[in-house]
Amino acid sequence: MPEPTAIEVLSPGLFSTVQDLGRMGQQHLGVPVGGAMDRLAARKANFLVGNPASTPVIEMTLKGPRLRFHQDLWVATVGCQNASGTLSDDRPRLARAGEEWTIQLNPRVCRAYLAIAGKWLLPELLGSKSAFWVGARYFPEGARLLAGQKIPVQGKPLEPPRPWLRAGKSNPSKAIRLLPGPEWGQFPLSAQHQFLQQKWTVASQSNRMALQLKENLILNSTIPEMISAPVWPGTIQCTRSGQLMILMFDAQTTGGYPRIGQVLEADLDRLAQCRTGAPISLVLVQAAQAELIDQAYRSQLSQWTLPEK
Amino acid sequence: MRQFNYLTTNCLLVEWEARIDREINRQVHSLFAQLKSTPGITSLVPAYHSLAIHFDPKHWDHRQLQAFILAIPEGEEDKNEAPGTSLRIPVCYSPNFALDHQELAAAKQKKWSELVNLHTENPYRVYLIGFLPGFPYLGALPQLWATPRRAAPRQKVAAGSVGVAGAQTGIYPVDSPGGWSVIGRTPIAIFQPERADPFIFQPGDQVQFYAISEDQFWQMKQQSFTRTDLYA
Repeated sequence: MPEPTAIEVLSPGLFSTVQDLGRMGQQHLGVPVGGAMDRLAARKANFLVGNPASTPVIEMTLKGPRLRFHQDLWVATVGCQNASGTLSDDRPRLARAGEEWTIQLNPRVCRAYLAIAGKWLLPELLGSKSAFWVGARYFPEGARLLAGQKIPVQGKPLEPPRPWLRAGKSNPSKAIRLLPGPEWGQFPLSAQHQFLQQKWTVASQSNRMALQLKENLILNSTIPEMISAPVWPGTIQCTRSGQLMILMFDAQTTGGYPRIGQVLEADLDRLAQCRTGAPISLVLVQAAQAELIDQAYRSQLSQWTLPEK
Repeated sequence: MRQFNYLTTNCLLVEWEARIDREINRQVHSLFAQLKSTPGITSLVPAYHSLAIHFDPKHWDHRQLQAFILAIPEGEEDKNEAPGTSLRIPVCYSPNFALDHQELAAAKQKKWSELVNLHTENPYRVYLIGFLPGFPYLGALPQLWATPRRAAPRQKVAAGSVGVAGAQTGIYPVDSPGGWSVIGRTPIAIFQPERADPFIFQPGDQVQFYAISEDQFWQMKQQSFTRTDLYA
């Protein structure tokens, strides 16, 4: 058994956090769902290094970190590109003790994932190692990467090597698919029409809590006041001024803005990869169709999932 | 009357009449309590008048789960007791902590001590936990206490601060910005991230406030309290 050792964070990149499957089941306590924003990409990274899906990964946003390895470790990334001495997707590489790697993101993605073969020896909060923003800081300690930090990892050999699955294309549709939200019927027909016809743009204030859209929904009549009610990643809220917010994995668990739509689980990964300025169009699907789409997505997730030890 | 709606393909949303109401919220928590240990339920989000029920699609679909809920006997509905646990929470209402006591006393034309007596008179239910992790929305306040939100939110409200807004009262789990009027502070740490079970409150709890002096506040602040220490 190799000694637990560390990956040293020389620079953390723009915003890099530890993420796993999140805190499902704690939402009655006001705890966000959390976990990797692009769930399929995170699964793939863990799969390639032979880890079960619940193993943490590093989620990197726009600009990757610079890391020093203090032990030989098998590393896989999803959403990265070849750069000096670093990685391309689709096969794990061995990082030798003493090497320094600069992780570069593929310019087409917003978030990329890095997995290490082995165990991460990091503290948990509420059953997860995912970074969790409360008040003014991140919990648990070390879940948001900072320069100089050492992440203890217990590496393991890579066996057997896992191939990149040539599994079915994830999504033939370009538009983001959604179900009508609980308050859909309270929006005037003109607003419903605009909602589905408008070419929306992702605004720069977007983060792990929500994607904001740049254009406003035009509301000619007032939408009735709403009593706070449950929301979920994928819920599209509309403020009184017509600002749209697509809630993501670190969103609050309840909200007081009307819920105009609910993005299908299958399309959240694509939203997670939208950079500022990305165009978005929205299309409603029937419940029965939505079930099939999400079912197909979940079976794709399970193809990239290795059994828990 | 309850209505069943889709939130996601694996979340059933049960909605009661859209009011902030003790009885409606009691029904939400009654169903919440009944589903807590049901296999294949992955997460539950109770709010004022609605409950989101997330399920594992390998166990349930929308129709099966709806049928299961409709078959739960509603026998408990005629009891006045809520399913929640009773907790006693000390609060220091002294002017050093009750940042808005002057404004409130003036607006209500009452002495501060009278308002404090009224705030501690009856237990409140945790209608829901939201806004911040562990932040309990407690209700309903006596009518006299009803207070609009502050026009300008504070940049920083200290952890443990007890606030009021509308017919609600609540406690800030951590230092955070906040728009509620601040009427006191509890020495109890209601969010303890270093513990395996970091939160003091559960949705549906009954919370009885009692007033303490500043000396008592600082004494209790030295101690650490878990949920069970606060059982009434």
